[in-house]
Amino acid sequence: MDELIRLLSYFVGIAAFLGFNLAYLGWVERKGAGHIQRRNGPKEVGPYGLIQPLADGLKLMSKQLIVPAAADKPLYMAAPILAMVPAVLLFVAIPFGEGIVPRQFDFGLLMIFAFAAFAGLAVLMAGWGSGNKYSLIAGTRVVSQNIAFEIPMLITAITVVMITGTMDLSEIVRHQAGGFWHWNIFPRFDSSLLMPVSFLIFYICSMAETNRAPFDLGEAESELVAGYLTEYGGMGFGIFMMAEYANIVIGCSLTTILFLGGWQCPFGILPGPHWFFIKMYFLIWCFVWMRWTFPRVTLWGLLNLSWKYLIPFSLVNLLLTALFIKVF
Amino acid sequence: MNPSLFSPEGLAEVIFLILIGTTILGASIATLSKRLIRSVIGLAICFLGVGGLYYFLNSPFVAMMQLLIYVGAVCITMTFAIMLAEPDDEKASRKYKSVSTWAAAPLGGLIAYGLSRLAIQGQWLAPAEKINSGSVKDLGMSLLNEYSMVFELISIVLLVSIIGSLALARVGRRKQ
Amino acid sequence: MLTISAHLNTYLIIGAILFGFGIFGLLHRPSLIGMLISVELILSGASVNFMAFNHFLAPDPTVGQIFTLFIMGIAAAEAAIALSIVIAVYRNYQSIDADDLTDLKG
Repeated sequence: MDELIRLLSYFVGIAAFLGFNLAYLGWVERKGAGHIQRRNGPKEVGPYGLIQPLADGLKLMSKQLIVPAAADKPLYMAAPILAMVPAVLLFVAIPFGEGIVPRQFDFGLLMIFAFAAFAGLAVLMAGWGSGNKYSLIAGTRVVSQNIAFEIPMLITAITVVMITGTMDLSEIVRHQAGGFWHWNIFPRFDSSLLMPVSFLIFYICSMAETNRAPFDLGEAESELVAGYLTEYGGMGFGIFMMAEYANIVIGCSLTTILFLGGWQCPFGILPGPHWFFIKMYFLIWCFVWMRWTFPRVTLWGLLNLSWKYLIPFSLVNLLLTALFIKVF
Repeated sequence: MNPSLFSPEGLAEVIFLILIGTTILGASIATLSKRLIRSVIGLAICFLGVGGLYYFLNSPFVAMMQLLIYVGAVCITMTFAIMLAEPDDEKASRKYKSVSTWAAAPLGGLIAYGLSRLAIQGQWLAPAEKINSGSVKDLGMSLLNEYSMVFELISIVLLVSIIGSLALARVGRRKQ
Repeated sequence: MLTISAHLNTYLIIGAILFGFGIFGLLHRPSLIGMLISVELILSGASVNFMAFNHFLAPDPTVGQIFTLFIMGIAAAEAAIALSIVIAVYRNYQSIDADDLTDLKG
């Protein structure tokens, strides 16, 4: 019976956390974008524009869902759902605090990567199902970007797994206990000397995986309008946006857990979920900061970055990490 | 012996039945639908169901690799190839008649029935003592100790297939 | 009905059904990519069989898992090469119907 209560409270908690984040990350982004560009962000609706996301949600919900005539209806309707479901499902595996994890998986890291692979299929379904040539081309670009950046992400995650010896996310965080010099991002002699490189590669790849920051060809620039999201209006678009923010939260949580010590305090005194949230929101703020600072890359620059630079770097990093672990 | 429906074992069985349904639904969409892109999505659904079955067979690692490799890579590659090779699927009216459904379905059903009967009537040896527990750690140990040769061979196979498929796909580009 | 996940026969029947679907698809679908999809179904049926025997009857439960991982690897390599061949065929014949590729006939 108390197992049931525990599950229900996690369910409610994650739903509340997710709902709050998905709405208010949009607010953070728009305010941040505004102030970086030397203007105010939304300020009309409520104090400091805090009710803006609710107004946006109401607007999206009240729009008519127009399905284009040439669209493949089952694919068109199923794509937003397929984009949203894995992103929400992965919160089951993320440890927010000591023992505060909905379900303990021995292979939590692998599960996150496996379910993130569904996103590519959802984008292809959206691109094809819209019945629009430009959506199709944008969709294939996004998927080739996703596949290209998934590889260095997996390889650098393997370096962390090699150091810790387990794929269990709670165990990886517990390994980094006791002061911030134990975090996986800092080079040490009993882990590898190249961990900052791993962190950098992982962070760039997670930015590219979530179609964010300078790597957002698929939705902002591509061809004419909004890439694979062109034919989606109202709540279909809303669900895709929410799925993107959920992916950003998961990507930043994963980076926090793997490299920055999860719920561990920098000085070893008061570990708890508050540190997790501080670190995660700091990384999300860096995402927002980089989006409005860097210009967008071209497709060939993007794919060159992955195949010609990041993959060789991450492979060499893997070999050198293995060497360090064996020698020291 | 039969667990009640709302106990954890009962709910697990219900999920197992849903997974079997998903697998068979995916396989039927993959083989019966007229448009190729829908059959690739059906294949992805089938792989999802099979991944769930692997989870019930006590190997979550293989289940996650199934999702990562098949759904995340193979289905996406097939979708790319469909987009490059058959963009208009209104050519569903073929010039030549394929083997009709009514001739091929009994053959497939007969093979499935024959295999099931063979499997059910087989005298399988009694389960022996398990020498390790089949966890991920044991998997890694046996992969690198007893089966290291196969591991190296499959990496060579994958390397050769990458080089081969790049060489095949490049041929048209030099003419442009 | 509620304890079928603990019997070996369930998984063997599922493997056989997937195999049957694969054979049906291989005969029924005229295009090359359709045939590749059916071949993937056949490989999945065989993998389910391997994993079922691995769980219920094998003394070393890692062998079946390793074999299944290798089947996945080989299937992925085969899909990559087959799709390259399909693209090359499409460039030359402008069709991927198996009945259109008749250069070596007669």
